Amino acid sequence: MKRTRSLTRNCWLLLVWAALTACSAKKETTPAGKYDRGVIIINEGNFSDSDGELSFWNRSTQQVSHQIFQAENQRPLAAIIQSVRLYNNRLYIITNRADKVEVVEASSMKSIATISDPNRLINPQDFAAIGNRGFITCWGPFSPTFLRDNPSLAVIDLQNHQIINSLRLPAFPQGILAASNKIFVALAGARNILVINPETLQTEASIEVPQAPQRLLVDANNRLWAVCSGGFARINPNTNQVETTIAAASPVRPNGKATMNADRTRLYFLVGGFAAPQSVYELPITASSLPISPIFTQNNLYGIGCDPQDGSIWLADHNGFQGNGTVIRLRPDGTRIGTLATGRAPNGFLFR
Amino acid sequence: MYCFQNKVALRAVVGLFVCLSSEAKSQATDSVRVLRQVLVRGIGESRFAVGSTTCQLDSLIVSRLSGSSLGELLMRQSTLYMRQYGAGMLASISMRGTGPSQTALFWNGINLNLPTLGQIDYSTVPIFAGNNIIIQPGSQSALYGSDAIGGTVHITQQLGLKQGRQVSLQQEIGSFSRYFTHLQATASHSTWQAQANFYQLYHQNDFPFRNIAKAGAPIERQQNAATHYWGVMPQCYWQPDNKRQFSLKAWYHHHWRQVQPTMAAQEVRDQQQDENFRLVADYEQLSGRKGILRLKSAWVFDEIVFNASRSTMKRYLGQMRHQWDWSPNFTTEIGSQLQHAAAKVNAYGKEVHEQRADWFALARFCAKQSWLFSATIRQTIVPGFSAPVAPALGIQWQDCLGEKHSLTWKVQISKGYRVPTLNDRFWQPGGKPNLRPEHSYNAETTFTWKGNAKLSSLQGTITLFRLWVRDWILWLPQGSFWSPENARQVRVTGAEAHVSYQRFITKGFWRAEAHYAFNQSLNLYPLSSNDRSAGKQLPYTPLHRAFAAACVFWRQWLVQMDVNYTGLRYPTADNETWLEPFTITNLLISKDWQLKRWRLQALFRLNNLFNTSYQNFQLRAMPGRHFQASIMVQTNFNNW
Repeated sequence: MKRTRSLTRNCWLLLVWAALTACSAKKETTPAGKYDRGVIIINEGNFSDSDGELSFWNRSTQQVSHQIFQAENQRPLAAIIQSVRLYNNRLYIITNRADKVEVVEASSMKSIATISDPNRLINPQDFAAIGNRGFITCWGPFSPTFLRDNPSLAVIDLQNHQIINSLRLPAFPQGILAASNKIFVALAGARNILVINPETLQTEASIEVPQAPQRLLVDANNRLWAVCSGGFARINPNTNQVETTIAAASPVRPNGKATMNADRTRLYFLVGGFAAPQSVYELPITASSLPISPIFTQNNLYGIGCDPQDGSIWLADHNGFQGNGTVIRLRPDGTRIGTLATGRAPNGFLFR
Repeated sequence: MYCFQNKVALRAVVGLFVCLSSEAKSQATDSVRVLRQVLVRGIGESRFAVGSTTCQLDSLIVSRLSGSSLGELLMRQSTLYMRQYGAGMLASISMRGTGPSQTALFWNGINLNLPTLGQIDYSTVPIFAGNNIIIQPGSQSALYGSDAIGGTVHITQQLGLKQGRQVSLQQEIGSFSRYFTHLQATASHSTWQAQANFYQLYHQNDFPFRNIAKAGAPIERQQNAATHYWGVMPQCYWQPDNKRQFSLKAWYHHHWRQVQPTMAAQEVRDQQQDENFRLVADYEQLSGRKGILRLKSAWVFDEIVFNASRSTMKRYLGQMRHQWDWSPNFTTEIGSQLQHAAAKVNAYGKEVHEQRADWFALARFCAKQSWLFSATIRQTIVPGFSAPVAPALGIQWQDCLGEKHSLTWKVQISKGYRVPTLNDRFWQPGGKPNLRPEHSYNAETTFTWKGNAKLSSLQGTITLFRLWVRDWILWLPQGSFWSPENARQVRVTGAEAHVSYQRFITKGFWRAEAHYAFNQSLNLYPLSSNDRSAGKQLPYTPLHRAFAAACVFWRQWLVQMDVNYTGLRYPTADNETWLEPFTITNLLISKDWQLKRWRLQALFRLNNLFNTSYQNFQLRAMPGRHFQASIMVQTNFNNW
């Protein structure tokens, strides 16, 4: 009920979430189960209702089922979903407002574990894993003036679902990615990507990128792309060196929601500044300057993904947060395939 | 207390609960003109609300629920719906299918809706803020100005003369560490009365609930939902002669609470502290041969501290109205009101001031005993944007079908409006200083049938209405921030039905009543290209609300049982998910004793008798069966 309730109190919080949350999908393939062939639609949920849920679009039937977590586990997820990651046939559902990570069997959605810790898992945002270790970026508790000045990186043992360590971060984080056997953390509160050794948990490097890195993606050449409010940086994950930087310039300022196309030779990213509507732009991984015109424009776009099987672009429309959202599917050229009804405030996709 | 041998007096007491229509015909027909004493029940303006229905809550029951908030009371004793964010938490009203800022709450004639949020939390209003609670559904901006789109709720404190000196103390205890204390002292004389109230509530509110959001649905105790409030309410009334009266009412309320988190997020530790200071002075005098002059001035200070973020609001209000009785059958009133509001909210960037001026003209005409007409108009002028004008017309016809039956038919058409709040106008970023006011058109008709026998009476009322709300303000995302827009167009179609029967028995009476409200509140147009909310019911607006109660008053015993039904609510505008309906049953037992100088009242309340597990709001736990018990001692010093 953000329409009416306590706007003074909650509105800006919503803005923060609206501006900073994003989720793109990570591809892995596994054999068939109930939820193995299709697209998981991440419905973030309403901040005050904590009603985030997952929807599933089945590739065979082309039908969407809603609230699949509740359907398979007989309880509501009851949280705001920041991101969902697939690792070793398990989904890690990272949520806040109930600060927890729900671990479910990816093919059945059956719950395996719920990870929470009131001291070391506060406002979790994103997940990446190497070997038997999971890493979760956390904003930490808000200060009395709502600053995120105590952020951390939680380290999890994926066997027993225990938090085994918590690293203090120099600025609040957003996206996280595992590449070249290293953990890369986007420090959205600064202009750096931290490189962390997953074994020693030591910081190997702090790569300088444009302002406010939000999201990390891997391209066809195994280069890392940092999608920042201030632009893009292409990083060689082996050397930790920035190969190319593309500075954002008005009106093309990425809002942090981005994905790779099917063959990972292009980025699709959302631009939604102070002026509605939002636009989808594409950027080839060989580019050295910003694209000029968008391939699609509409109000209320809140997430983006690309289906690696057919290259279709999936856009999440939150419908003004007044009700449930809609998924818009586009062909790679920006023409429309159709829409799907989904849950509340969709913010991303996971393609399987 | 009441004299129960005297059935006439008793009838006067129990008659208070029934839906008063504004029919009391010309009241100033006495040849010797004196001011009506403030004791007269009701609200002055409602004389001009011909064609609409007002409902006064039964003081016999209300006085026995005195530790409750106004939100709890209305959920329990009316068909209004409260959007409750948990037990004892933020409760905002929905009347006739509209939103919380479209109903005005008046305390002794001043609108308590906060100028920043445009609404008030009904959980922060204790019900003894006045001794008279009246609900007036329907757009009534012609009488009450801004915010009166869905209707109005009025709490007034009626003072009286010649009641001697009294002191009463009530102590209540209840489940989940609930302690409530109320101390009241009254002194009165032939020309004045003074009264002071002090109250305090402490409630840990750690009720057990089944946590359906966790694996295995364990039983847990609610955390972080405590409330502590206290307040003082001194007031005085002075009537030096039959031509003048003066009253001064003050109210300080301090309200601290933890904000109950959702079931899944018990570790969230938000808290809020509200402080309200309200001061209202009224002066009334006869003017000329046929006039009455009424002056009101008020000062209201509100502060909200949410976690560490503080907002303060100040309002000054002055009102002047002049009534003129051209004849016993024709009354007019003209008046104006000035209000200055100042608010300090971090997001405004600076202190914001707003001036509002209202003018109004009201007329009421009675023809041939059975016809009554009213025509009213009011306008609020706010510098900076177009000012809404709200007229209303009402007709009432009443006829006695023989000695024992009467039939009343009423029609009203009216317009209502809501001026955008300071948040709507000045919030940075997003606020739009030139937003259009919301406005509504309301048409309603009411049939009432009353039958009276020697010892019993039966009454049935049905109201049908339609309400169109235009330019409904919604905060919608605009890229990376939110901004208010005149986005929504709503049509409400509804019906309200009431039936009550009461019968006198030796040394008492019994009564049964049933009330039902149907509010189909539809959003007419989609808000965006993919929005699926067109033609759907508004969120958290139940289609059905019903309440039935039976009560017996006998030899100073009172037993009342009420059953409330709340239909399913949709959390989202597209109605794709819903929360299940719930029915709550409550039991109230009290006994009064009169022991010479002392009056004693023992009270026991069993709430949610059948231990229903329910959610009014998504994932907000509500308590199961719980009790409250209290003892009240009152002494009248005149007898000492």
